[in-house]
Amino acid sequence: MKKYNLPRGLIVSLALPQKKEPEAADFTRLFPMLNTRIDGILIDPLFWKIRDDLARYQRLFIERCVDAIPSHVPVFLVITGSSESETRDILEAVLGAVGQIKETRNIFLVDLPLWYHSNRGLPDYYRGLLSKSDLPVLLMNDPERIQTSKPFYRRRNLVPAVLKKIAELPGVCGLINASDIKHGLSYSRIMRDRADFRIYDGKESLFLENPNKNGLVSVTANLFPSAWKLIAESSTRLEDFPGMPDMIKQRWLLGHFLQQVSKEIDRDAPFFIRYVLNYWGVFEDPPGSPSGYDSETRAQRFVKFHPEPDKIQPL
Amino acid sequence: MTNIAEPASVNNSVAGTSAMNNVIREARKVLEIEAAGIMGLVDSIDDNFCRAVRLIEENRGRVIVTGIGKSGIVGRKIVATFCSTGTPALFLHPVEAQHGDLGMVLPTDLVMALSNSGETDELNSILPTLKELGVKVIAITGNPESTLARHADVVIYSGVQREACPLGLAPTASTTAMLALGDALAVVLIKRRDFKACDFKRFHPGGHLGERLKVSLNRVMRTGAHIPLVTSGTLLTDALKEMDKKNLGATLVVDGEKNLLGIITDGDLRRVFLRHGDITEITVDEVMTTDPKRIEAGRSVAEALEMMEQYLITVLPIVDASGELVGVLHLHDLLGQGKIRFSQ
Repeated sequence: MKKYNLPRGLIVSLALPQKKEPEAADFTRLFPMLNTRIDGILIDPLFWKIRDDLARYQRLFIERCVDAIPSHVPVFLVITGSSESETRDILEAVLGAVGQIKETRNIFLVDLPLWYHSNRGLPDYYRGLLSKSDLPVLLMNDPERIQTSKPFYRRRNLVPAVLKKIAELPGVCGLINASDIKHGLSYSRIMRDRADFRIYDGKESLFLENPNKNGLVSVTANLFPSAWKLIAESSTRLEDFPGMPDMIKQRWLLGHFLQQVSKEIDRDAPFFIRYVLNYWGVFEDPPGSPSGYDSETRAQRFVKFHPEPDKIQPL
Repeated sequence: MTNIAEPASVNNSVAGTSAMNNVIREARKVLEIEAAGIMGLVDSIDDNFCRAVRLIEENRGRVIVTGIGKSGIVGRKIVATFCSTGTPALFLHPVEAQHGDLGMVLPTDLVMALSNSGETDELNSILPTLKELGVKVIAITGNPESTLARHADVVIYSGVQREACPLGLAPTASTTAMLALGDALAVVLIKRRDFKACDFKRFHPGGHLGERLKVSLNRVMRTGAHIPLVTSGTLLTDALKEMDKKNLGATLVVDGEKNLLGIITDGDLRRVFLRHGDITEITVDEVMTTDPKRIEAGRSVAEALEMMEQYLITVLPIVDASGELVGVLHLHDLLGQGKIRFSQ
């Protein structure tokens, strides 16, 4: 069985400025903040509401920005487009751009299949799609995101049996699950005979409530990387952290704080995080337009209490 | 229009129902997470598990289980299960081990180390000494790439997908998984060693005392050739041989119809030797205690025990309804059904 070196711990869904083309300069302040504290970086333009010519965006990101990410940090690239054909285009663009880079660093592809496809026929679709790729692939299950694109669509979650079939294809090595605990347990149950298949939490609240030993994909870690790193580590590697009452209390408070931040940001995370990063001077570009009616007010209130970047030191 | 407010009790009851539902939902979720954790291990049982079983089976010493924190508590339970199922085991606290308790580990022993992360300092610091002693180490850990796993001879994977406790402040599913693996080892060993119910009872005499007392005397008494028995008129020297052969500290004296006439005990013999120099001409009828205490075969062990305590005797003849001798009972037979003797 092929070993994919999937990381455990904190994977940050990297905040992307609202621009059509990524530039390394956009991340000069953000990368140093994240670098030493994370176990992986997810490049998910779809989440950050970048929808135009994603094939070009991902290609440019690889060409211009990947070098700024330390080589030991695995990179997860989302290849999801609005349709099957666009997804194929993104995949081809990524494969073309990755070229030699894949020899020196861990690169994984991530796809959110229900964004443009239904559960029906998904294994066959992947058989065709992945036949040209030699990069390991993770699937993403995010019912809330699917709801925004297909509000009347009944099945917003990957069917576990479908996942199992897709996972039999060579190269399919994990799942990022942003659904509820019930689905999380179903996926774990059906994939239990695949020790090499790694399931991550794609939803911060899910991880904070019942920590997944593999780790999570976090959005708010862009703002509080060290706090998230501490919580992710202490939650995934229990016994390394002494159970002294004051430490437990601090971890409890920190976890509670992150839960609150996550909840506050959740409704319009892309705008909120860009707004805060822009306010802190990390991003030069303005945050773009908010989606929620009160997003700007909430972001303003947030920076009032957090006028500077993350100062929380590991305990 | 007048607003009619709901009575406070109704509001409270609605709030109470909602809180109750939350409690039930949360509890079910915890059980589901823990069940999923154990189910996740089902397919991870592999050759390593078999190697661990083989090591324990072939081990000539004891299984020393060690771990700290919740793993230590799980370790103590594993020790209890091992001991009661025929695998000699004891618990070693890693901190106490560093302060002298390592002396209890013999080269013939086997160590089973429990740590979810496999990076517990207190545990890993005793590994070099264990290796120096030449002791084999079985690690049960959720991290097969950890320091503990690297230093172990056999690694049993106990990792779970998810913890049930918020923020993972307390290990929950992972300790349950460890506990289940300990049970799996113990049960496999039971089957491999053909450990039977009678063996289990042997290690649980306390728990089964009540059960033993209810048993009918028919099931525990000595019968047939096992009864030390002589007939009336037998020489005392022959009776002595019978007593020596049946090793009960007494012999019963019967008539030709097997009706119980008397009993001769070690105490009777002492008194005979003190009174008479020569015993070669003496018959049992001159020495025996006539009309000894007796009990019917259908009675319970508890009744026999009560009679023995009341009359301060250790051997009790058992007769049927017609008074014919059918068996005999020693106090030791009652306490251990003949399997456990204080004298052994």
